Amino acid sequence: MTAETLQASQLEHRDHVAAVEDYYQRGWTDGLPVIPPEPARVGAFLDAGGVTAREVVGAVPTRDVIVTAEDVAINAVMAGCLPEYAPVALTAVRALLHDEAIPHSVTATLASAAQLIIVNGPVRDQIGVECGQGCMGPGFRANATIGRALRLVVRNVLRSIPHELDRGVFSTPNRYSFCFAEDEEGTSWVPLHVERGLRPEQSAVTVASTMGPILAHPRSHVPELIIEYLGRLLFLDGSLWEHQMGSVADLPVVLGQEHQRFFTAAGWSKADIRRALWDQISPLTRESDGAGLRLGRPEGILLVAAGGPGDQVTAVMPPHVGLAVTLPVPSSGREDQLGR
Amino acid sequence: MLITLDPTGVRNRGQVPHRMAARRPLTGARVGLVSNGLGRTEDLLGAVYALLRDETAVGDAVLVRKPHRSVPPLPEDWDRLLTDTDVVIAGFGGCGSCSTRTIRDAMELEWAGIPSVALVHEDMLPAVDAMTRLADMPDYPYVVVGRARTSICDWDDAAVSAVAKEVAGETMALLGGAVDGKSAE
Repeated sequence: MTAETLQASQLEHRDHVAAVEDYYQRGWTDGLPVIPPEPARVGAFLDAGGVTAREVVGAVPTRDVIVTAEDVAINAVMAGCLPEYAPVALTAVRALLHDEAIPHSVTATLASAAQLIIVNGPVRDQIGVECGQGCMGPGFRANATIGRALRLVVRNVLRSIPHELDRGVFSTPNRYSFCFAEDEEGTSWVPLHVERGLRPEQSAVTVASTMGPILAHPRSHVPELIIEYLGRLLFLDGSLWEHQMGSVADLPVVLGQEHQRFFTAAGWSKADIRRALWDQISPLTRESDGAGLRLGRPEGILLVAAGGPGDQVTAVMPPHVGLAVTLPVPSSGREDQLGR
Repeated sequence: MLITLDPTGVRNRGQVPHRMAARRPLTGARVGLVSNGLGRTEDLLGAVYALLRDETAVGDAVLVRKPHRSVPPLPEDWDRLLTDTDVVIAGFGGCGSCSTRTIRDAMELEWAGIPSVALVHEDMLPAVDAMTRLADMPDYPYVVVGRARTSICDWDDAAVSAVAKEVAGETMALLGGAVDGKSAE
């Protein structure tokens, strides 16, 4: 039990209801009630993550912020995470705070970027991260609370607060929580984390900052025509080109179940889809200012299988700045080697 | 009685004192121009520099283009600023992440001994003020471009020239010592 080593200031409340209201008054919630972070709960979370309270998860030097495992644990408990979610929640925060993710920018922007968390590997089933029907929406505790934990860290530790440091014009409901898993069993495709350099038996988290999703409904069963539609949609959106955001970026594309079927029936692998989409968008230059593509290489297209049956839909995730970061989910909490 | 924990963590200020650099006369001072590439920023900085040169006979300009709007200058460019400039103008803080990074650029240069000023848009002031509070310099002064101009610096030539004229005087004052009643420490 690591509760005895906790460093955070303690507060006293009459009861749980009073604590919840106090956290509202202090501006420590996302607008929804939180679970009061009692030391025992926070200690259990740290133990489950295999980390010590003072272990550094990452930093945002622009804000003089160092994020410790204790900071993540407190906010994850507030979000409603169970202790067994700790390795995934901690890894998600590590990924957001990676230099390549440009954490200062993606949490201060006018563009209202949200952080998309994609979970791969055995941990999906172990903790119940939904990958099928409804996976991007409410109703699944692991999805909802892991995504919320990351956003509460952004609010409370990184100080990205609306009307203050956070300047999102509209912000987005995806900032409450945006986490789901890849449906690795629905197709024979190579899972995202394996394409990013990890082993199939490893668990992994990928975090990407996005202004999406944009739901694409090309009315065709023909792979080439679906690709053409996605390319036109991305060009119309424009965020992949330099004039809007300026930095290199990655592009998550989440193929729904019907589109998975159309591509696999035609014998297309993820590599085939990636190459075709790259060939579709890479020659395109914005005519107004000659801006080039921010997507520096085909591998920047991150293809993910998820969602339920029925509608013929793919979710494209227009990127904010920085790159998507994939990290392995450690079983011990101490293995944080970059996955690619 | 229920005991709970504060979720906000602790600030880590490091070892560098957070204070403004000493001001000196601007005559002959080499002027660093730190551009984040937002819209017409580089043109705006150039126009402000030209006015400073005409008014106070400052020295040469050193232009630094950051690789992205919300990151610091590259290490080699940071070294150039520290060795080849006497004062710095940073801009343009017209979006959420670039305004906050621009004010941070200016503050970090102050900590390194280079008097600096950030040009920021009025719409971004809550974020800019949040950054100065986080750095324990809540009164650190900056120059504001008002809402009559769009924040993302997508201005025509006439607007660039007009804004330069509007901000040049206060920029000179903040770099040269007169802080108009505001102080950082």
